[in-house]
Amino acid sequence: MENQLVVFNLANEHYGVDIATVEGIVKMQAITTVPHTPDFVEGITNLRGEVLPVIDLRKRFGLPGGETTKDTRIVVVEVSGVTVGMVVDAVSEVLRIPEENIEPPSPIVTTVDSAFITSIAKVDEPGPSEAGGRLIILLDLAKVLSTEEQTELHVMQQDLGEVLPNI
Amino acid sequence: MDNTLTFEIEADEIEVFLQDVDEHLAAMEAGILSLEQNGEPAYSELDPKVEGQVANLDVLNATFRAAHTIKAVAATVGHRQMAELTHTLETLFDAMREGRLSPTQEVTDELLATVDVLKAMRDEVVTLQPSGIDSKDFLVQLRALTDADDDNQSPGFSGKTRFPGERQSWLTPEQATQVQDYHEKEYEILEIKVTTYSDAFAQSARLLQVSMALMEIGHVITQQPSHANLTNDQHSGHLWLILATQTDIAVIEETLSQVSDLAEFRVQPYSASTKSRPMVDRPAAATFSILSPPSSTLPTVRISVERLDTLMNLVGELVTDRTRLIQVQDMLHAKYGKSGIINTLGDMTTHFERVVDQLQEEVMAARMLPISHLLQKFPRLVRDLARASGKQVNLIIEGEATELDRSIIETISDPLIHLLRNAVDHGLEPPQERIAAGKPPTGTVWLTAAHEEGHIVITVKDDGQGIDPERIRRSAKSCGMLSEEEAAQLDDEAATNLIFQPNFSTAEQVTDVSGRGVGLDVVRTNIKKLSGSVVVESKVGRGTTFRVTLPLTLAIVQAMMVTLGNDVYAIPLTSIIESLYLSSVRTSSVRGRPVITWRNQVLPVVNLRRFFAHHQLPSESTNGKEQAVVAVAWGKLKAGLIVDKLIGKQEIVVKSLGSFIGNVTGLSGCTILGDGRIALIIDIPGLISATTKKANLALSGL
Repeated sequence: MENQLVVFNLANEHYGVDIATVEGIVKMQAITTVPHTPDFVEGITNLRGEVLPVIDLRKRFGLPGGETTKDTRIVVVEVSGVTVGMVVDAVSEVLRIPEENIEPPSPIVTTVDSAFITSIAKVDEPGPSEAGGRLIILLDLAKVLSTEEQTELHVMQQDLGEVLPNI
Repeated sequence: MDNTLTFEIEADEIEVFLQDVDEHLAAMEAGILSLEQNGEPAYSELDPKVEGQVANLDVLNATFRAAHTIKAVAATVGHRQMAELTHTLETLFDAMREGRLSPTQEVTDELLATVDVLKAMRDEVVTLQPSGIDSKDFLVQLRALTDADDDNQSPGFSGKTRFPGERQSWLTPEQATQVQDYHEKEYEILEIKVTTYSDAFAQSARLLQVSMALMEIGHVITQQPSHANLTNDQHSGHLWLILATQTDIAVIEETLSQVSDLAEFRVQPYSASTKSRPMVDRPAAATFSILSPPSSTLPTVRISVERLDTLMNLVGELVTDRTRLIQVQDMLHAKYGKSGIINTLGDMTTHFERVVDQLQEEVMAARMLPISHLLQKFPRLVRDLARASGKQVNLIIEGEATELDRSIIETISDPLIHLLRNAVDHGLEPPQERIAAGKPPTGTVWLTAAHEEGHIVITVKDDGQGIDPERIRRSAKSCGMLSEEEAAQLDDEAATNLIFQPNFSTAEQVTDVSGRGVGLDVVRTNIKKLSGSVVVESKVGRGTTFRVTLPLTLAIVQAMMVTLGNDVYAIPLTSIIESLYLSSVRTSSVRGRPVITWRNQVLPVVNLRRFFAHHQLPSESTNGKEQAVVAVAWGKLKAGLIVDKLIGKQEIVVKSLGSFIGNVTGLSGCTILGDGRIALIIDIPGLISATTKKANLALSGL
């Protein structure tokens, strides 16, 4: 049993998502900010005539904000019927990883909240972009795009009501 | 053997079956109610000069056709019970057409109950589970209606040439000539009607016996059922025939009395004045031919809503492209001036623009439905409500032809049901009270739909007791919604509109205001979702009017485009009263809230930059000069929105923000601009209700 992953970089770490969830990868493009949404929600963008919500993965993981470069990409994923774009620093490759190279997450090896992680993949052979011996953090997309954030969003809207009379 | 039913219908035909049956059931129900209301027997005393009667006959014909179609459809799928029941309904409508049966309340009750049974039978076709309803009971009751009615009439067949349970018993022209001939030969023309006991053994044999006996005494010109049918046991226990004879009536009666098992028989001279009537006197006879639809109907095809939505989306993309194309053309024009190729492009763009406009109009029109689709179910609802509450209600519906986007029609149904229920349950008084108040005992509810300045306005009006603003004030105070001072400041109209406030509809207060306000906040919320509004006007003792305003369509709207920082927002034009430069109006503050004075009104203002938390954005080159105030209204609530800059009017295709973003206060969706960027659409009702807190209810003048 082999896993096929789309691997991308975020603040000098490697992350992977199951290729089956990836709908496409697009270059960074104009994103319209949507007010009263959580901080990590970048906004919405026009993907071939469809409205695509976009999140900033750095902000989602509480990492320091990064610059938009020519390598910045939006990884479009679909999880349980919802399509979302994720802004990442760069997309590096598509990898096949054997089952035995995948291990449960250890809190020591990663800076990201372990709630978002399903497992860690070890890559021994050299990849096309750099030397081997890397660790790839496999993301639990359902959690990354979790509806708990939606609850947070509603709470924000309620708070808003209290602020309004001062406008 | 299991209990499931089987029908001769393929899975992919079920939808068509349902559409057919539902449409005609609705038509039938509407017809039945309309007949009850008009009350007149339709045909027997038909005077072509009296328009109402002709209209009533039209209704009857339409109802008959609906029943007939259902019968045909039911028979096609092999639902025999359903076909049989509808057939009996037809017979009743037929009886009405001849004036043998009046659409009294009892008859209407029975007919409506039968429609409900038919609905249950329709469901059987889908679920394949027996509904548990035994249609036999209904058949017996229905048949009893015609028979009972028949017996109550004066004996004899005056003006009646038809017989219950049978169809097509008018004389054909040939038969009429025959009658004429016999008449000239001094034969007596008799109409004979025989009924056997329904539990009699060998009914058909008895009827055959009668028929044979009469053939010996004279010439049978026509009979229903035919000989052949009687032989095959196809009858309903009745026999009707026209006999030309020279034998005395008394002798014939004597002959008939010797046949056993006859419940009754009548022998009556066949009146010459009635015999040709159906052919000559009735120009409407052509529409009696059941299968042919009204000739004005154009050929149509059914199309799924889903497909229409896809078409609409595609047109939406073309609309976006059109805007984009015009921009590109302008850019080329600015860069290279007027050269040959650019002029050609210009011509093409203009043509493209025109075609897209037309295409859009057509697709929009295809999505429009007359509101009658929705309204036709309300007479039944109101009738049931009135019967349940012991009130007398006359429902007047106007503007059924008004067209509305089908997505709106679907969503507006529940709020309207609620308002009608409210009007009957709480608005109208019981007959005794009305009489005491000097009103007619029958209350009237008007349901009106009309076009008004790019909107649809639906009003639900009653002539009941009205809403007492003083009681509303008291309730609002007692539930802590308003302070003494605030309550005093509210004018009556504003107070009355408090019934839409969500926290107003707690059970305690409801009894206080005689039940008004139950769930009216839900009504308003639903209407708000459609970018519509609802307001109420009421006069104590005179009645209450609810006025629902809705957009014509939700898919493509005209909007004023504005900027906030670098972002573009769209404000639907239907909500906008006026746009002004901020520099041209006087700003001040009332109780710490910024307001502007506009047309002698104090308008609370909302700085959209702050509302949408854009204040951290770098200010664009705007130095305040371009800043504008867009005055908007939702129902009776008004506000001024401060924006950085007005861009201009544009047609936009409304798109959802999607489930991931979810509902955002103050936004109703988004749209893709000509340059590919996305603009957010401001939700005026949401924005106004979010900013209008109870504290400034009075201030805003509501």
